[in-house]
Amino acid sequence: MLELIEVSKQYSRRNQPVDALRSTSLKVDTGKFIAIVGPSGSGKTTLLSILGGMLAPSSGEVKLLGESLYQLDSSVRAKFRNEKIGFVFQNFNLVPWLTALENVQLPLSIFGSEADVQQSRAMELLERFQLTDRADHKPSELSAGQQQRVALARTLITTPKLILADEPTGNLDPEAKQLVLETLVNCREKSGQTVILVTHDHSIASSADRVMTMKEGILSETSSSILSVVAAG
Amino acid sequence: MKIRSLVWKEIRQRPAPSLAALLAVALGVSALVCVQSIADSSAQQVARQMSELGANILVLPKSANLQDYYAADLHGETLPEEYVTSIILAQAVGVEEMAPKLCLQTTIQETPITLTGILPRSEFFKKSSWQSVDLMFQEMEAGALGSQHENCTGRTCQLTDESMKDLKSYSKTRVVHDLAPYDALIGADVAQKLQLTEESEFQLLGDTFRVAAVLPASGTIDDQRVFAHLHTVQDLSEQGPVVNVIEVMGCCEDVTAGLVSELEDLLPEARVITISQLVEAQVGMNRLMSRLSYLLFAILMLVGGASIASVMFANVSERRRELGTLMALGATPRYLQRLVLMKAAMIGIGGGLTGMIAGGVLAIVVGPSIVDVPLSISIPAIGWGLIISFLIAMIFSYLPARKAAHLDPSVCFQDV
Repeated sequence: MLELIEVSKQYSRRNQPVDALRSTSLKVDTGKFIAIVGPSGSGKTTLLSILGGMLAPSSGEVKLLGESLYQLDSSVRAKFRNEKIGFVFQNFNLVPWLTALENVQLPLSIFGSEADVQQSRAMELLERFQLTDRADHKPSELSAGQQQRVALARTLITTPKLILADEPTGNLDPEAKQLVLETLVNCREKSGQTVILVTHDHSIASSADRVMTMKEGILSETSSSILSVVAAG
Repeated sequence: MKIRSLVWKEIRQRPAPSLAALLAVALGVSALVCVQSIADSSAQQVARQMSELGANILVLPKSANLQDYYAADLHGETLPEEYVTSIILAQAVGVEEMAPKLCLQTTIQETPITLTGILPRSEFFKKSSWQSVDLMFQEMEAGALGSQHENCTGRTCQLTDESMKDLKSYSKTRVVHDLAPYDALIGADVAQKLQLTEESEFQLLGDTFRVAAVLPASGTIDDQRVFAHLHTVQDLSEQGPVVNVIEVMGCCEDVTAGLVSELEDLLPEARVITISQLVEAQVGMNRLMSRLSYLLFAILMLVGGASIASVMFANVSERRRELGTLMALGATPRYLQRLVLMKAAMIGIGGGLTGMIAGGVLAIVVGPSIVDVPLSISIPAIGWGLIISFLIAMIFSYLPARKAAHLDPSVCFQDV
């Protein structure tokens, strides 16, 4: 499903090279739930950007569904991203002047789906997330939990094979946090979607099939049982 | 949801910066449409007047200072009326009609008017000195005052006796056949202000005048005039047998050059000019206005373009995370470029349309007071204004659009 082969990423900061990601290899099978934990600045977001086809690595190869992601033309990669990859962000990243319904429609409208198809699919998802009565509300009129549910609906509208979530529960209360987690777990269990989640929250990470730790640009496997202990403690 | 709908919603969400850029473009287009409409209408009016008036020549005092043809007799300087006789006696080739005039600024019921003395054609016959010239008399019977020239293709055939007897046609023909000493032709504006109609009477400088005809509106200074018999006006002005101007109507343009030099030789104390010389100043002014409007348009469009560039750069910077999110959702760099260019196009076209309406309204409201002619909106100016405002918007937003297309999409993960 997803394979990283010797991927590294270097930035230049004040003319000094900074290794954000060091020779990282990873193989993820379809339908797995992977959690990545690690301190701020350790390279988690860089890894997520590379996995999402948005940031070309300095070296190495990223293969997704058999395609070498960075050998695709940028337009083809964008379409691939639109159809196969879904993102969930910590700050929801909803477009502030669009309604909840329009925000959910957005991935379909970017590639010009029929308007009625966009609308009916978006309404289905809003119903699933119990937001039908908020369809015409702008993000500023919604609570944080409702905004994240809209963002999840937007992610799921294209039924992506891979879901990349960057601290999706970071700004949420426990109830909303639980809902997000349940949704992601459901994606894996019911739809066979692969989920890669970056989090600081060990209780969330403990729900994953595999937990990996990122430290100074190096990704390493962590035992989930250790995390369970940490989370319980 | 289409891309244009996305752009429109964003503009509506934050209208102020877009409006500022739109106004800058609108200013440029309105200046172009307004000034070009005024210049075009003025040029059309001059051309219309030229074709109506034919090959006219003005005989004026040497010191007369001219503004335009219709105000040519308002300079206050005078010529002896005898000059009319001299021209007739010279039997100049191509002289078809003559219209000596004397003006007097006065009031009727406290309304300021220009009383203009005109000599009806029938008066030429009464002059014994003219009648003594048998040949001349025959020519006059035939309908012309001077000698006809061969193969004339001018307006000789257009001026029939019937048209000269119709007093209302004076505004076009500049000639009346008969006019009683206390009959008057009233300009359209004067008639409207004083509520004068045909056959009504009014008091002027102690005498009672009868309205012989109300002239149709011409959009010229003639609308504020009262025309009466030249000799009556001479008596009222107490200036003696003088005139301010003698209009000589030649039969066609072909005779004009020869006629001017012949009249200059005949009347060395007078200034002889053609209408074409007179309108040259007006045409020159129109040309200058037109060029200035293009210059103004160019400057304002550059300001508008810079304003659009500034708004779009700021917009792309402010929307970094939003644009990054769109990329994460599958938007291509080309899609983001289109998003920015479409917004700029909406500002450009909106500015063009606003400028078109504002310029048109301004031309219609302000124009007549500047050029004293009824205005029509310049369609080429509107076309150019819209095309250039669109192009300017596209050109000046190209760099911001490129910036949007080359954004690092990973900004959508960051707090920006």
